[in-house]
Amino acid sequence: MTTLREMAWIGLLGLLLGLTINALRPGGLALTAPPDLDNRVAGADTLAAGAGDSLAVIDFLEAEALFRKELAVFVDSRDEGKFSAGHIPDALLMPYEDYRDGLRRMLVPKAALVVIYCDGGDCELSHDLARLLVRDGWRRVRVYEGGWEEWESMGMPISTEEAG
Amino acid sequence: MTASPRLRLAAVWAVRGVLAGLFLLAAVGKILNPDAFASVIRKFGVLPREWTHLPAILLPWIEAVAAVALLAGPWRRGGIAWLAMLLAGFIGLFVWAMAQGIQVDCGCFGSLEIYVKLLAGDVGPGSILRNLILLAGCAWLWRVESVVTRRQVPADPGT
Repeated sequence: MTTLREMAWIGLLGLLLGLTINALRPGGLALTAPPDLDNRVAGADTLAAGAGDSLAVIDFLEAEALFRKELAVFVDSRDEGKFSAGHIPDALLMPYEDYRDGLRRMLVPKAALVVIYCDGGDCELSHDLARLLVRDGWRRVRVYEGGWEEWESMGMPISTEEAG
Repeated sequence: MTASPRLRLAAVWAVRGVLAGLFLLAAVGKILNPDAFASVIRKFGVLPREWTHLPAILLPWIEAVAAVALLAGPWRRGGIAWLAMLLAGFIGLFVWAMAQGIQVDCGCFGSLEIYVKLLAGDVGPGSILRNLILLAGCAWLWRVESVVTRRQVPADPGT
């Protein structure tokens, strides 16, 4: 019985800390993930599997080359807090969860080669955003999977300019 | 042959330290990047997408509090029980993912995995074995704590 009571206290403390700190930190997660964005994307699985002709994954060397030669528009799919803390220079801020914000979308040129990134590692935001852009008519979309963590760890240029 | 009490105490603290240390490390890695942890949860596909944020927010903090409880004392048995329950849950999840053929990074240490390559790795026999060893550590600590607790209960004067 004592153990159960102790477990309940630990659970309660963890719950309070988790919810409070998530609410206070910049870029904290919404309590529920956006419910329907994935469902609205036709053929998302095909794209994710790489079978589509419009979406491809690029690695660090390719991302670096595109950046150095200014051949692509980089799009940061993380939230504004993370973007302000550091992003790839000249990247556009377009948080995945703000996709419905048409103004932000308009800033991403449709004809350009678009490279989307998020934190890296297992972050899926870049894939999710890429699927939405491809669905809505962007034809040259790439996902830089290494993302911000790899970019930063490789000592690449970074910017802390606020989003425009 | 019985180990000397001092040696036994050292072993108890060593196991506590390893368990608490690993869980604190895992918690910090996930707390630093809840987005990435939510993403790992989504990849397992056991929860509807909408419900993947909540465990990403709460689980790391429960891991952290349980680890601190294991070290600090007042709720030590509760801490062990939480850690054992989490480990058993992770083992079940990993076995299920392997059976389904889902290849996914275990995400056990969150964003720290890119800094400490030793911690990284896909779900597989290695991560299951690691969790089984940690679970065995929990079971041993539970036994030790039970003995300590029994000794602390005063004897019934009527006996």
